[in-house]
Amino acid sequence: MERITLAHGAGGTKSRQLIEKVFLPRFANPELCKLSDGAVLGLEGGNYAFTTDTHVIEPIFFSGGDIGKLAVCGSINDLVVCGAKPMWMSCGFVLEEGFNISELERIADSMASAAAAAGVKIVTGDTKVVGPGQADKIYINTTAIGQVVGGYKPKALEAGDKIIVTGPMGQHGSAIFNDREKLLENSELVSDCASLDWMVPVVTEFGGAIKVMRDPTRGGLGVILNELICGSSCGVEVTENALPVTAATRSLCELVGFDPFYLPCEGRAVIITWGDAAKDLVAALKSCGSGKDSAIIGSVLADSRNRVSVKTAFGGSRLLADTAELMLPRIC
Amino acid sequence: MCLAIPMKIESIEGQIGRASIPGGQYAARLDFLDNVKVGDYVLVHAGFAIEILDEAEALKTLEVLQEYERLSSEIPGRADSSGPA
Amino acid sequence: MKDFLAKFRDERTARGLLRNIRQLAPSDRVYRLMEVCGTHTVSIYRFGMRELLPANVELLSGPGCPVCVTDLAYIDKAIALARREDVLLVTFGDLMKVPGSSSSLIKERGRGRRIKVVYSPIEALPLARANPDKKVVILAVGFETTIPAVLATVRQGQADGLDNLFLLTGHKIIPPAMKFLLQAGAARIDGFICPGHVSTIIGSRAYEFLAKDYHVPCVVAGFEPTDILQAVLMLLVQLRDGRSEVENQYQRAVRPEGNPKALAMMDRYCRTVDDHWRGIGIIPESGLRLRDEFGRWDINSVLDIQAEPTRAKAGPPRLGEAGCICGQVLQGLARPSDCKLFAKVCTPEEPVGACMVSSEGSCAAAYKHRRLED
Repeated sequence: MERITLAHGAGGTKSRQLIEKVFLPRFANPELCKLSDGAVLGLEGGNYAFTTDTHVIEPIFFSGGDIGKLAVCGSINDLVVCGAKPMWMSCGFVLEEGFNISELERIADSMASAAAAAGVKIVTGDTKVVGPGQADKIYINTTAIGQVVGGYKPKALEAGDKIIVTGPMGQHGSAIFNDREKLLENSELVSDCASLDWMVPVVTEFGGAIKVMRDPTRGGLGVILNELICGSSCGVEVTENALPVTAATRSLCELVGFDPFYLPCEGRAVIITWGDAAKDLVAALKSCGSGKDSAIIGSVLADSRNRVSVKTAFGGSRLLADTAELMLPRIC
Repeated sequence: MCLAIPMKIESIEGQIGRASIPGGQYAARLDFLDNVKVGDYVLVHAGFAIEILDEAEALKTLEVLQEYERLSSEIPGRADSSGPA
Repeated sequence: MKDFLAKFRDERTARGLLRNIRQLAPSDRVYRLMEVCGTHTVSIYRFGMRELLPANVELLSGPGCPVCVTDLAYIDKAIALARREDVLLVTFGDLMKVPGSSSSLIKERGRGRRIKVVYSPIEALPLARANPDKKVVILAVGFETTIPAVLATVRQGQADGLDNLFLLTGHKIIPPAMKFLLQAGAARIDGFICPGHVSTIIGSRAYEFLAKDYHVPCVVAGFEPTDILQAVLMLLVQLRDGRSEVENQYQRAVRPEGNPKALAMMDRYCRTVDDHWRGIGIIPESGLRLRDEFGRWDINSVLDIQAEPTRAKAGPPRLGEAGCICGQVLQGLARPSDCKLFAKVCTPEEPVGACMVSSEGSCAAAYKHRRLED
């Protein structure tokens, strides 16, 4: 592993290896080593979650959003899946000389809008400019803090736990792919880029029953499910028919041979709960407009080999590898 | 890769058939098909429509397939190309 | 229409078919039925068909994956082309990960070479127009379903007056490979499940010579689970009755004469050549190359492609490693699980053989659809 490749940024095995080899040993501390979506820090007034996210997406304006909205929602969502109410955010920009200020204004408008809608204040920031060709238009980093509310704390997985997703999978990945490749016209493919702050009251209510949460961005659900069972004595079985996928995403996947399990989302959460609590949690999620397509997609089972399997029609099955089978570069 | 998807022709402009699939449209090439009409379902492979799906034949095949549910104890006789006699 | 297309996946129908199949396949005999289409390979694994069928009805997988049978020299040539400053490569996605002697297209793209993955070869035309100073070369790998699309692209390029569009031809045709396997005899094939979409082009009549000369029943099948099961049933009926005919299960899409315009196009632009199938060897008259009068579209006619000498034991140390039995898998002589390297040393992330690289390869399909019990 001598040089950085796209795989190091794809969110799967190679990304993890890079972190474990380069950053963890140097930055070592207990909060970091949990490698969660955000770090939960014990401060005087309670527990706070702290996260950072950098966005390099191409194209910067896409169906359903732009890099600004993505950057704000990305960090908000990382906090929500840590059980926190997002509160403050910083943003750092790297701009390419020559970038259109009117486009920057559009992006800033998006950011302001997304932050305000989630009750988040952007309280500090930084801007750097590099020469033409030294960055691709605009890169944005956001770092955010929120207060942990309710009783959510990650807990060990057990056989019988249920897996829930809060909406159709793979919308962001399929929308970006189509924006770039222009395969389908007049399409309903639109990114699911959105803030998950609507989930905070539900997480607060069900905190005790929730085992773990993640937002399935790079690599998609397939990679996340593998990550979640890594190091446990569990496996996962999901039912293909139970996975919510929009018709448009399904069509694109059929056309080009993509797998919705590996397409990124930018406005969804995957939640694992105690078996008994699953139905009520889904009902609570569905009662929030943004969660109307929430569904139980499978269960945790005992499996010392930590495999993720999908039941297909006719009793067929397939195993989901921990690496994204396809790599869409600069997807988020 | 023989992936070919059924798509419905919504409009035709020269060699291009604008075909719909759930959630979007695809501009398929019609170079290999004569007599394609709006409303036809075509099989599209690698961007080209390779055949018009014959609805009547599809229905016939389905009927035969559904017969198998009913004829579980009867072994088919000499089969013509559509199934049990 | 699409509502009733979904009925081809009906589980009750499948159960009815399976009951009939069990009655037609008394356990004192083993029935070996071969498919020769990557999409059939995948459908069969995806829907767990082998587990549904009685144990004495064996589904063999043949050389139906065009990427799997594309030889190393072709990949090395493609890589050599990619490394040229004046070339822009256009390819289907599946070729990207196939290991060449020391690199692969995906690695080359990572090094900044101009390689565009397309869904349709027609996408090469705007690329050629937008890059007049580059030679836009389509990696023309595929069977009869895809060949007409590539040729139509060339024809359109001709009509548009493009002079920078080329092919690196690696096209192969299926019936000669089927004949080769029957002549070799080792696979003991009792019947062929014929490829649905290849047959849309070449017609169900194309297999008559196999049924007649080799007394092997052939049934053209669609890709839904009930299509495949019905085709199996039809083969078993023929075998029971001692017939060897060509029958068409995929009547909604396949005609006896195939697609005349596509066939005429292939005949006009191409001639057959003996061709090398990776893992198998030379199969007579199994490759299509451009006729001399269209030679100007062949990149070999304008460039002297300096590929690396193909290593006998090729690849980043892995390809062709001792123990790789892709050749046997491609001829239906072994199953992926028979290979000592399968899933242990050879995986999609670290493939040893071509069958594990392509998403339609038997080994890749078998690996992906491993069950928890395996």
